[in-house]
Amino acid sequence: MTPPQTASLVDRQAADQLPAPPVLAPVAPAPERAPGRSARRARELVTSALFSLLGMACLVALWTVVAWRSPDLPTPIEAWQSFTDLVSSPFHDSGPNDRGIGLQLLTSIGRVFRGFGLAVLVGVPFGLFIGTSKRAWQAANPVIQLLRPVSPLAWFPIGLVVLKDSPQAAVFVIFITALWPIVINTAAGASSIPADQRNVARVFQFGRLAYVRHVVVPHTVPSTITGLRLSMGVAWMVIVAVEMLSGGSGIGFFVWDSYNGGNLGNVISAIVLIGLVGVVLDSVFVRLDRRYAAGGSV
Amino acid sequence: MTLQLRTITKRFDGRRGAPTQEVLRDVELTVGSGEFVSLIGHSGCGKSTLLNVVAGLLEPDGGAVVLDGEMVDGPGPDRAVVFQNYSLLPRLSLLANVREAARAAHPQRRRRNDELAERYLTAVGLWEHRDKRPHEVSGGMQQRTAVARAFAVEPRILLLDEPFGALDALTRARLQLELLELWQSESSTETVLMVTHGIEEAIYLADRIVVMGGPPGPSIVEEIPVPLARPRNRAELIDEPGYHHVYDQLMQLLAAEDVSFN
Ligand SMILES: Nc1ncnc2c1ncn2[C@@H]1O[C@H](COP(=O)(O)OP(=O)(O)O)[C@@H](O)[C@H]1O
Ligand SMILES: [Mg+2]
Repeated sequence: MTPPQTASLVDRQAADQLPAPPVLAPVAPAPERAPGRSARRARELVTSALFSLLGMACLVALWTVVAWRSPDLPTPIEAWQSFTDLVSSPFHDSGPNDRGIGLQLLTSIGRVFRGFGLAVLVGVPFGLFIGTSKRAWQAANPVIQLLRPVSPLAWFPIGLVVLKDSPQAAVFVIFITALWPIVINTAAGASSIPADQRNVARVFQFGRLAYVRHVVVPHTVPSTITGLRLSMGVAWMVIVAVEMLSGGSGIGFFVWDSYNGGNLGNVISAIVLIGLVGVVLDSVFVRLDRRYAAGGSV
Repeated sequence: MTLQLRTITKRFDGRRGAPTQEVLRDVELTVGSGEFVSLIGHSGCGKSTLLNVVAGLLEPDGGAVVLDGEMVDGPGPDRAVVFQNYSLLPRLSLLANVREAARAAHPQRRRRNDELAERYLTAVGLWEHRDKRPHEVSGGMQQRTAVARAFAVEPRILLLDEPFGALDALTRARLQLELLELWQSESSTETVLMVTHGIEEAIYLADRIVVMGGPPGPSIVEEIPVPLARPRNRAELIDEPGYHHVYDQLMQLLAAEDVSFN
């Protein structure tokens, strides 16, 4: 029960670049408020929405210019056509080369969840272990440092050879992708237990189990959630790439297949949809983090 | 229950080439069964270090801590500690903080642990608040919980490190009284060693006051018995000649220490 001092590691850098989860703002308006207050807030809301639209408009303008110079690229209007076509029948299935975009997305999400879920099952206990045992940390750290900078796609051949199945190998790649942020952030949380909490455990002779349950885990949850969030973000990026390699199905395959068929409108539509799904996946973890910070259980 | 400190020495290695600092040198102290002893001294003279050595949280570089003839080796619930910054576990309710400590200290007796947790949380007036988390209550209530937690493990000696230093004067006075009541109640905890920097607090609570001096010669400077009968009444205390005698002695010793500091 002697946790290591501190770990130098950490994907904190990456974590810092994520927007900070917003502080819990009171949702219900206070009953007695100055009348000018709500009007001002409404005006602020409209203004911020306008600026969001302005950002989008800049992107579309830039795109229009590029499309105008490079005729193979669809214009926003052409892309909008492809988009509405795609989302008008998202779940049709007419053979492997003509499946709805919704099905392709669901396939990819399923793979991400499986790989991610495995990474949680392995990564959280392992992170707790190396975060609370100095020797385990010393043993695991070099391995982690060596493997972490490797693009997860490099694991695809290994997955293929071992699992002899290309979709399974894709799940394996996602597992590897998601593993490192979970392990590293969990270990960092578990190794930074405040001295006074450790002293309490020592004075009252907490057993290993009680120590993990009442001291280590509660202290580690926030950084584990950060790790989960990073993992999910990278996993969702990597799935597109790995499905371009694995082929057959999934949103990555769809992008590559559309490109080969010369349908750039579909590629752009897929980019937008991938982005939207990414936002939704990320928001799950933001919410989880907020709920824990507010005193809830995870 | 007798606590003996035998020639305790403690040094801290200086950071980055700073010289090693000797914080305790040959500290000798005996605390008898049922005694309430206060440790007083200027900030930085090593009071917390000494208390942590007794608690087993720090290992002395020389000497030994002996409890009823047995050498102390590491922390244990026979020496419960009330820390200055309360040190409750933030995700546990007040009741769970007390109960889990009792369970950890005495794993074989579950029913009794729950009874003790209830008894002491009630004794410090927090039973209604038992389901709240530490951040939902005041500092005084957090420290009450820490006191209840310490008593609930039925330690042989209670160690307190400036437990009421961060509280306002009224809350502090109430907690001092509660501490005395718990100590004098049928609790199995008879012996108390308490670090303080408050002269009034030391006189009001202690049977004996141990004055510590900083470097050079970091050690115990003087031991002053407090010749005041219990129960003590705070308001009447200042009319007692004994009170002023002790007070003046402490003032002189601490002022002298202050000079030697500079
Ligand atoms: N862990 C430590 N490492 C290095 N120096 C320490 C450590 N703890 C305490 N000290 C030093 O030992 C001296 C005594 O500290 P402490 O026992 O906390 O004093 P007090 O409780 O009387 O205010 C101080 O000068 C402090 O800087
Ligand atoms: Mg101190």
